[in-house]
Amino acid sequence: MPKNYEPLDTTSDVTTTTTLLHEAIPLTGTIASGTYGTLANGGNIKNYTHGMFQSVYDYPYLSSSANHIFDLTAGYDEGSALSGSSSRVQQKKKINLYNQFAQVLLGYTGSNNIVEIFESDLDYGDNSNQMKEVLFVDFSRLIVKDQVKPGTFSMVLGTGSWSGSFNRMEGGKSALVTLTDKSASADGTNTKNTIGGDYGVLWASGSNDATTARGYGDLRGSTRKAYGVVFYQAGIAILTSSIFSVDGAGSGVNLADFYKHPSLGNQTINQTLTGSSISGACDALRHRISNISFNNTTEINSKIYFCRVPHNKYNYSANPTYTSGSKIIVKSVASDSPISYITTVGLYNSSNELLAVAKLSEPLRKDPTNDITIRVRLDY
Amino acid sequence: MAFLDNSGDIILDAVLTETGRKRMADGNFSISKFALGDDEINYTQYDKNHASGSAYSDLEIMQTPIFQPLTTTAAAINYGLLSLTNVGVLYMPAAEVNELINQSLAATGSVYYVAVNAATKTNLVTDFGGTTAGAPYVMQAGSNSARSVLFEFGINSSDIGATAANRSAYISNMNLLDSGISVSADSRFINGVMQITRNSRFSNNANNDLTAVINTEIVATSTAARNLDNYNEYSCRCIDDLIFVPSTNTATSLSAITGPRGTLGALNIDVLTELKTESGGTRSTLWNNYGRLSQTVAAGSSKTYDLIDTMVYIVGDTTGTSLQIPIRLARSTN
Repeated sequence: MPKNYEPLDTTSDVTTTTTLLHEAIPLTGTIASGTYGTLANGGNIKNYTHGMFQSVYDYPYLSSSANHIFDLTAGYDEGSALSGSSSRVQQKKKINLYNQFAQVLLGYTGSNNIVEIFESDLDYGDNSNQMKEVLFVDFSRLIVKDQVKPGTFSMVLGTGSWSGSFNRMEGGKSALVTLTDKSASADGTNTKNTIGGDYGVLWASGSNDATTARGYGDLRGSTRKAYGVVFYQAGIAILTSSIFSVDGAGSGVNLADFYKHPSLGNQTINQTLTGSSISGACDALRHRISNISFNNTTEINSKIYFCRVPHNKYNYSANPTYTSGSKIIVKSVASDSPISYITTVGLYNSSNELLAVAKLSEPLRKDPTNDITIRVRLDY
Repeated sequence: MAFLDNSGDIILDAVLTETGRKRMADGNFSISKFALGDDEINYTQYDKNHASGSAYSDLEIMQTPIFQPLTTTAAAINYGLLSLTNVGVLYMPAAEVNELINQSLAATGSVYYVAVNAATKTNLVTDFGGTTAGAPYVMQAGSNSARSVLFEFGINSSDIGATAANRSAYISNMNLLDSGISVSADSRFINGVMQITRNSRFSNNANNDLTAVINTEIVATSTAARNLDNYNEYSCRCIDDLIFVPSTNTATSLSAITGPRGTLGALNIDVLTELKTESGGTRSTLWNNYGRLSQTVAAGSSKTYDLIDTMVYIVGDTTGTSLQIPIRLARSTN
């Protein structure tokens, strides 16, 4: 227990700072679609009896080593053309899910408190580019941390046939479509603020080929098209179903076999959303995820304590080895300078309780000829 | 606990302690001061006479690997660096147990026996040699008995004569007099320590005639020790140690310190009531949980005892000089 303490002046010896730490998060599609078993029964895929969503882990989820990576679910607005007769499979749940995401991320509109509709643009109140039938990819806090870094999100999907989702198509065109928020920036450029945080638009990039793939447009020209949004703080990507079907302008691809239902056979995405369970739609999307990557962000708030050691203090030690026969070992005569070696900095409250401790990687010599400032940073 | 990487620039690895996290949860995390430690350093590695010169004296010390920080408050800074204003200090007080006078308790088997009740004391004295020979080895818990653990602070070097003038020059005037001490004791067994009374006296005259009036009194108030789990800390006093070299001799047999003496302290302890039950009474589970049951302490004796070993820590308030007193609590079982 130390006997000598040095006060810290809260105005001159303590300061705060904030830094952002980014980590690259690459998620290979095989984790979602087959590393731990044949679709749809991967050991890392967890389905629930309620059937509302599906969880993807990085390892068979029964293992304590498994980490939760993301959840998948699907839904549509009650005003969607898909909303209809009671014969729709899990229709109520799909509508409830759409509303749940919309009310949390976009809020309500109008005097009747109608939930906003997702739109694949930054002006979510203008009712254009509405996404009424969507697939949700909800990333775990474990990998998103504080938020997805704007401008770094990328998701590559296969738009080929069910049996060859990622294979090249006729004419050598790629079946892969990349959705990216590349135009967004951490300074707020090309992002929109909502009650659910900021979001950016996911634009399609046909492929890495010079040839634009299958009518998805290209980021490089005016033909670019948006197929979803990504909410950065929430860590949620929302994809419109039209990415797997022909949109209103006749663009895109109308996949007849978006999903191969175990008993009903091939289904388009609209048939999947109406005629298959939510977990079926999730299986279909997993089957077509080639790659996902983004940078996450951790906001680190730090308090820095400048521990100033004056020249005339802490030059002696109570260490039992400091003396031999009461004589200070580092001195031969009284006029020699006392010397001590600092290895540890203890930070205390006014009651002398040790609240934090810092260790130097090597001893620091202290004698009356030097004063030292040790900068201790505590991150929160 | 691994070592820190010391292959490159000096880095600082900082962590919150358990107490720090607790205070943060309570909403009263407020750092207001700092202290420095050097627990890993072994100063005996300092080579004042290094063949290559004084620049190499601390070569070994500077290569000492440093542990990563612990989050427990124990072992964070056990001793600490001192801010003595006088750079001319060459000798620092040491602490030594005095077993030389009639009022002092002596160790047997390197531990100090504390009987938890009068019957146990009687039996132990008998086992240790009888009323006269065995008495120096036993004191009774919570009793201002004839003996206690006595310890002295002073310059334990024959370089300096143990004169009154040197006591002033090397201790008092250097602000190295430990008039107060902190005593840390395990609160699971010990609920009070006994300090030396203010009017006690420890001195000799020119003929080496001893004046030793040593009484103890209970110190019941304590605070939780900040660097030891389950320990309470007691603030105790010391009195002036006025044993000087007699005019007729060059040394004295009254002190454990060779050079000038600073202060003297005395220690006894009081224990929990449940530990004091006599052999016919209910045995506390503490004896079984933390000690050994029905042990003999002397060869050939049929007397048996429950024993608990514990350590009491003494630290000088001024110099940080420390002493560890190994205590053996004993309860007679037959």
